Amino acid sequence: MKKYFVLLLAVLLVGGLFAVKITMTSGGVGKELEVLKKQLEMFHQQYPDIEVEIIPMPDSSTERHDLYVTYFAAGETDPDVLMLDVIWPAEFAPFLEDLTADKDYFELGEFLPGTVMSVTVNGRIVAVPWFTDAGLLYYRKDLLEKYGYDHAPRTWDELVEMAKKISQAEGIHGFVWQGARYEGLVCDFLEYLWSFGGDVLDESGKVVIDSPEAVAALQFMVDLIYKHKVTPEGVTTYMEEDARRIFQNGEAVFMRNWPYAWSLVNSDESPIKGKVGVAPLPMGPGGRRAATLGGWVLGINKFSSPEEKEAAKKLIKFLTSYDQQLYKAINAGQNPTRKAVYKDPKLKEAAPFMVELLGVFINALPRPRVANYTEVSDVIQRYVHAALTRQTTPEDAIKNIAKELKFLLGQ
Amino acid sequence: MEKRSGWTAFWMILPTILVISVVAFFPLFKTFYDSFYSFGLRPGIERRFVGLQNYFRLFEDTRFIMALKNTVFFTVISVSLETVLGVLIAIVVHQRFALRGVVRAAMLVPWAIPTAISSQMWRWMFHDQFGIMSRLWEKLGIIEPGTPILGTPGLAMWAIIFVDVWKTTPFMALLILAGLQVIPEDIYEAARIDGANTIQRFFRITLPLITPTIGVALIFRTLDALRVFDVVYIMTRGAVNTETLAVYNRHVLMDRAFTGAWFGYGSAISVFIFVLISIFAILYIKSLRLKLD
Amino acid sequence: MSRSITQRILLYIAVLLILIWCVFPLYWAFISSIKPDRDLFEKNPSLFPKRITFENYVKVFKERPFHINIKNSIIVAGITTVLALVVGSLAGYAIARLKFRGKVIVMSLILAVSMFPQVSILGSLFLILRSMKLINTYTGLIIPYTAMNLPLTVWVLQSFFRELPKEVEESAFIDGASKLRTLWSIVLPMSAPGLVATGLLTFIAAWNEFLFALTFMQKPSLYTVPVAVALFKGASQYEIPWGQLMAAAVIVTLPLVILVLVFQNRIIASLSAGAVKG
Repeated sequence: MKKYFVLLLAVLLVGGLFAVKITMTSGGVGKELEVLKKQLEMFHQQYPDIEVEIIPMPDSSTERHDLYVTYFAAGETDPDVLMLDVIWPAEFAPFLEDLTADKDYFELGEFLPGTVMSVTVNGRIVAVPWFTDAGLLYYRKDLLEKYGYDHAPRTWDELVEMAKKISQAEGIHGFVWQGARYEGLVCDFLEYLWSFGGDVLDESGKVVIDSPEAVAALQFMVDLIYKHKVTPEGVTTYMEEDARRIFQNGEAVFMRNWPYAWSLVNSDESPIKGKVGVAPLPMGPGGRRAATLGGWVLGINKFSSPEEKEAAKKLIKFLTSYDQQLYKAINAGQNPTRKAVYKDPKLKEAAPFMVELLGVFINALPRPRVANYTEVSDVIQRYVHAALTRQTTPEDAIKNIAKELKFLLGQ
Repeated sequence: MEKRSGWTAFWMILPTILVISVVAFFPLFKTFYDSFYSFGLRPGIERRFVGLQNYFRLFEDTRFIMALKNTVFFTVISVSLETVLGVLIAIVVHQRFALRGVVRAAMLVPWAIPTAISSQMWRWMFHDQFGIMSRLWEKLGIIEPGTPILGTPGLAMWAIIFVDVWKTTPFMALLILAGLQVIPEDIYEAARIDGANTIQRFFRITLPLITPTIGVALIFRTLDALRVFDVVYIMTRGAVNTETLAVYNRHVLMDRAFTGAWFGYGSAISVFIFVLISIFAILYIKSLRLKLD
Repeated sequence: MSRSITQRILLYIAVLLILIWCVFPLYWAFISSIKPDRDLFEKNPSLFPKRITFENYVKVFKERPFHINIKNSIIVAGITTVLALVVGSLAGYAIARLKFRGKVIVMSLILAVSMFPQVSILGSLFLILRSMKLINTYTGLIIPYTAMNLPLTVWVLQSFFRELPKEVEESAFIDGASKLRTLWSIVLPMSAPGLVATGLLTFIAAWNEFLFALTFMQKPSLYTVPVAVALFKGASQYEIPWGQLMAAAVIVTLPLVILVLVFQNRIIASLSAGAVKG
C-alpha cells in the first residue's frame, strides 16, 4: 500500500511541477464573466495541471483591438488565449498560431460554415469560433395580423409594401435599422449588398463592389428613407440601441437588429412584450438571403511557449465543445457556433428563441477578411453614410468605394 | 582671442552636431531611402525595391489628396486670421491704458497651456450636448440646436481653426507688438501735424514699418500650420474631413503599416511633407538674414 | 494727444475682449472641474457654479495613476532641459565667441532641425528606436527631445553670450584660462538669467510635446502628461469623465502658467529674438 501511496505522491508532485499556467482575455463584466469563471472551474477539474488566469478587457471593441496591437507589436507572450472579434483574424493572422493541422481536433466540420470562413485566412485556420451573432428581422406579429398578413415579408419589396401600409395606418415608422456612421452601418449595408447579388471582394480577394447590384442595393437603402419613406431620416444617427428603443416603444413595424434585442423587447418593461416575431432578413431580387456574421473567436498567441500552446489548445477545445456551448447558451445567452447544439432539447426548453436562429446563422457571412479591414470598413462607412444623407449619389458612392478600396488593397 | 580656435570650437560643437545628426539628419535620409521601397511592420512581408512607384501612387490616393486640401485650407485660413487679428490686438495693447502689464501677461496664457490640454478643454467646450461653445454658436445662429460641431463635416474644421487661432493669435500679437514698439513716436507726430488721420497713419506708417516683422512671423507660422498634428488628432482624430497631412502620415506609418506593406509609401508621404515645409523654411532662413560673425 | 471718449471706451472694450479671449478657457476648465457631475452635465451650462466640490481633484489621482504621468513628464522634460542646456551652451559659446570656418553652415544646419516636420522623421526614428529597444523607455524620448530643442538653446544662448561684456572673458584668457574653463566659471554664472529663461522654454517645449510621446511611449504607465490627458478614458467607451479631465488640465496648467508669468519678460525677449532681431 505504502509503495502505491508514495508513487501517487510522486506523480502528483511531478504533475504539480509541470503545472502549466495560461492566461486568457475576456470581457470583464456581468454574466459573461461569471459563466466563464464557472466554465474554467469545470475545465480545471478535468485538467488539474492547467491553471487559467483571466485578463479582463475593456468594454469597447476598439480598445480591445488597440490593446492587442500593442501586445503583438511588443511580442508579448501573454495572453496565451485571445478572445477575438470575428473581424480581426485577418489582421492578426501573422501573430496567431496556425491551427490548420488541428482542424479535426477542434471538429470544425461541426461548426456553422460562416464562422469557419471567418477564421480562415489565406487557407490557414487561425482561430476557433466561440459564439456567434447575425442580423435579424424583428417584426410586430400583432400588427401584421391586424392588416391581414400571415407571414413575415420574404422579399424586400414585400417588406416595403407591408411597412408602408401599416405605418401609414398606425402613424408610426415602418422600418428602423442602423444607419449611423460606424461599423454597424457596414453590417447593415452588407446585408443589402449580398441579398441584391453584389459583394465587396470575390474569392480571390479582388475588389468587385463596382457593380450594378451594389448600386441597386445602396439605392434601395436610400429609397427606404426618401422614396418609400418607411424609414425616418434620423436613421443616419441610429445605432443598435437607438433602433431598439424606437421599436420597443411600439413606434416601428420592423427592425433590423442582433439577437440580443430579443430578451429586451420581451421583458416585462417592454410595451410590446409577446407581440414580436423574428425572421431571417428578406430576400433580394435574385432570391438571395443574407445576414452579417458577428460574434467572437478564440486564438492562440504565436509567442507563447509550446507547453502554453498545448494547454491553450485543450482549453479552446473544452470551451468550444458541445456541452460547454450548450451551457454558455443557456446561462449567458450567447449563440453556439456548433450546428448540433441548436437541436438539443435542453436548449429548446431554456431558450426556444435561439433554436429558431439556426435558419439565420446557417446563411450568415463574415465581413471582408483583409488585414486592414478597419480601413476598408471606414471607406464603406464614409460613402454609404454620405449616400444616406444625400451628400452623394449611390452611383458616385459605390464608384468611390471601389476606387479607394482598390488603392487600399493594392489593386 | 582673435586667432582661429578651430579645435576647441570643434569639440564644443561636436556633441550638438552628433545629437542632431543621429536624431534628425540620419532618420531623414533613411526616410528618403525607404520611400523607394515597399515594406511593412508586419511579419512575413518582404522588402522590395519599387523606385518611384510610391510617389506615383500619391496621386491615386483620395485620402492623401483630401489631407493635402485640408492642410492647405487650415493653413491659409488660420494664418490669415492670426495675422490680421494679431495686428489688431498688437495695436490695442500698444496703447497706454491701466493694467497694460496684466493684459500683456494674460496674452501668454494660451501659449503656456500645453496644446494637448487646451485641445481637451476646447473639446469639452464644443461638446454637442453640454458644451458652452455649442450653446453659444446655437444662440448666434451659426448652427442648428443639437448639431454635434466636432462630428459634422465642414463645422469640425472650423472649430479646429478656431482653437488654433485662439492659441496662436496672442503670441503673434506679442511678436508684432515688439515690432511696433521700435517705431519712434516722432514719425506719428510729424504725420499728425501734416493732417493724417488714424487710418492713414496706420496704412502709411505703421503697416509698412511692421511688415518685415509680420513677414517673418507669417512664414514661421505657416511652417507650423503646415505640420499641424496635436490639435487635429485630439479634437477629432482626423475624422469628418479634418485629416491633415501629418495626421494621415502618422496613420499610414503607425497603423496601416502594421497591416500591410505600407511603410515605404508612408515614407514617400513624409518626403512630400518635408519638401513642402522646406520651401517655406528656406524663405524663413533667408528672411532672418543671419549675422553671425 | 487727447483721446476722444468714444475711442477710450472702444479701447477698453477691446482690452476686455482680449482678456476674456485669453483667460476664459482656463476659467471654464476650472469651473467645470469643481462642479459636481449632475451640475456639469446640464444643457445650459451656468457661468458660475451653483455648488462646489473638489472630488474630481481627488479622483484624478485615485481612479487613475495621473501622478505617474506627471512623474514621467518631469523626468523626461527635466533631463532633456539639462542636456539641452549643457550641450547647447557649449555650441552656443563656440558660435558666439570663437572664430572658425563654416560657422554659418553649422548654424544653418542647427536651425534647419527646428524646421523639420516631426512627422517626416517619425517613421525612421520609430524603427531606429525599436531596433535599439528604446521604445517605451525614458531615453527613447529624451534623446529626440534634446535634439529638437538644441536649435532653440543654441540660438538663444549664443545671442545671450554675445551680449556679455568681452573684457571679463578676455582678462580670464590673459590669466591663462582655457576656453572651456572660461565658459564654465565665468560666462555661465554671468548668464544665469538667460540660462534660466532658456531652460524654462526648453522644459515647456519638452513637456508639451505630443507626437513623439504618443508614438514612442505605448504603455499607459509610461504616458507623459499630454498623452495621458489626450487619451483620458472613462469607465465606458462613451462617457469621458469631463470633470476629472478638467481637473487634470488645471493641475498641470496652473504651475506652467505661473512659471511663464513670473519669467514673462525674459521669455518674450528670447522668443522675439528670432522674429525681430536680424
